[in-house]
Amino acid sequence: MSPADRDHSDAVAGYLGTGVDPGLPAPELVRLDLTRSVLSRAATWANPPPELVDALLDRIAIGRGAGRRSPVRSIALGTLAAAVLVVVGLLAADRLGRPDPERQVALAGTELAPDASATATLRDTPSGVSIRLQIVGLVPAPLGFYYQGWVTGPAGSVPIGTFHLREGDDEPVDLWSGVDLSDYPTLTVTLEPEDGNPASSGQRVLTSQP
Amino acid sequence: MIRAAERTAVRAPADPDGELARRFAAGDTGAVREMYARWSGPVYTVAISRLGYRHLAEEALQETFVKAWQAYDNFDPRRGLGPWLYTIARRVALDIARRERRRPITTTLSDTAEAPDATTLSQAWEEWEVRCALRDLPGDERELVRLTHYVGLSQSQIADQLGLPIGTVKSRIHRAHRRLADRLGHLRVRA
Repeated sequence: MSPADRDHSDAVAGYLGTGVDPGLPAPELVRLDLTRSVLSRAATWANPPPELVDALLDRIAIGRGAGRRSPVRSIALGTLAAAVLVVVGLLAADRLGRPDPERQVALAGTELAPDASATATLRDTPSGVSIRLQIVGLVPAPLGFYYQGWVTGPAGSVPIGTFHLREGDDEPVDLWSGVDLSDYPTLTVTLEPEDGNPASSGQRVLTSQP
Repeated sequence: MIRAAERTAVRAPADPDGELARRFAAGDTGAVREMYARWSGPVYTVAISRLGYRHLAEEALQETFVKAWQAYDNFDPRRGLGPWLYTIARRVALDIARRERRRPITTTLSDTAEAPDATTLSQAWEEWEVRCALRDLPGDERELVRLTHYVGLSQSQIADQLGLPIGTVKSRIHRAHRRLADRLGHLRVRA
């Protein structure tokens, strides 16, 4: 690396760390701003579940098996597949008429958090409705603020829990509702100041539709 | 498959990517795990940025590796594994995004749900490169970069959190960014 390249790397490192322009060319600053923006996004730091590699190995093993499949083996696999379909059909028929104990609702980011989204997994339990939020792209709540979940219906809004995401958004957020969600069908998340005021700030960052 | 394997074998001594790809194509469990350890992060970042939802990004991640395994004959060791996987990952994410757009909306997707799809090619490539560069940083330096940019802590807050003198934190953060700058030097825009 030449001395000029070393100087450039030092200047880039300084800009990445502080955002203060040390006199870099404008096109380079544009690129470095993109780098800084990427570094601040949740997607850059998100990690896939480690167990996915086992599922991948299973799929590759199945693919390798398919490549060497003999006619006799194909017939055997076909018979097995038909048997599996029958069993699945019987199980599905058995479930008809029962409410699904677990369902998912998508939440989209509002103008305050256009890069954010979330999937809420709702599960009825004997003590209330468990609401597990898997959030993507929502920045951690600034110090002095927190996020609050709400369910809203014609009768008003009911808080379902608070969180801050300051240690990342890899882990799901668990919230609970003590009211029937058919009466409060809209799920929202707001940004709240730590001011002791229990009323909503109205600063919605995520919302579902009823 | 044989033709590509022979081509790779000739280059293998000077081409660790080609050797890894060849073992991956053979379904070698160790190679699949090694490929996954090296590239699942960058693939996941590109996928989640484009698709917005973890379950879709996980689908894209697995599909990318399966397609790479199936399309090994198209792998050119001269280009390297990274750009090859990046191309597959982007295409897979695009296909899933198209499929999702065709589905009837049964839950809730407002207009803002389209935002991740607006990622430009240069943004996606930057995301890929930055994620690869972060992967190659020592763990303590990667954490300093995360605390600075993602968590948004000041250097004095980081010093408090880690129990280190502010001067140490400043020099380590600069060293981490210097390493990032070197690792991303090939993206430099020359005036």
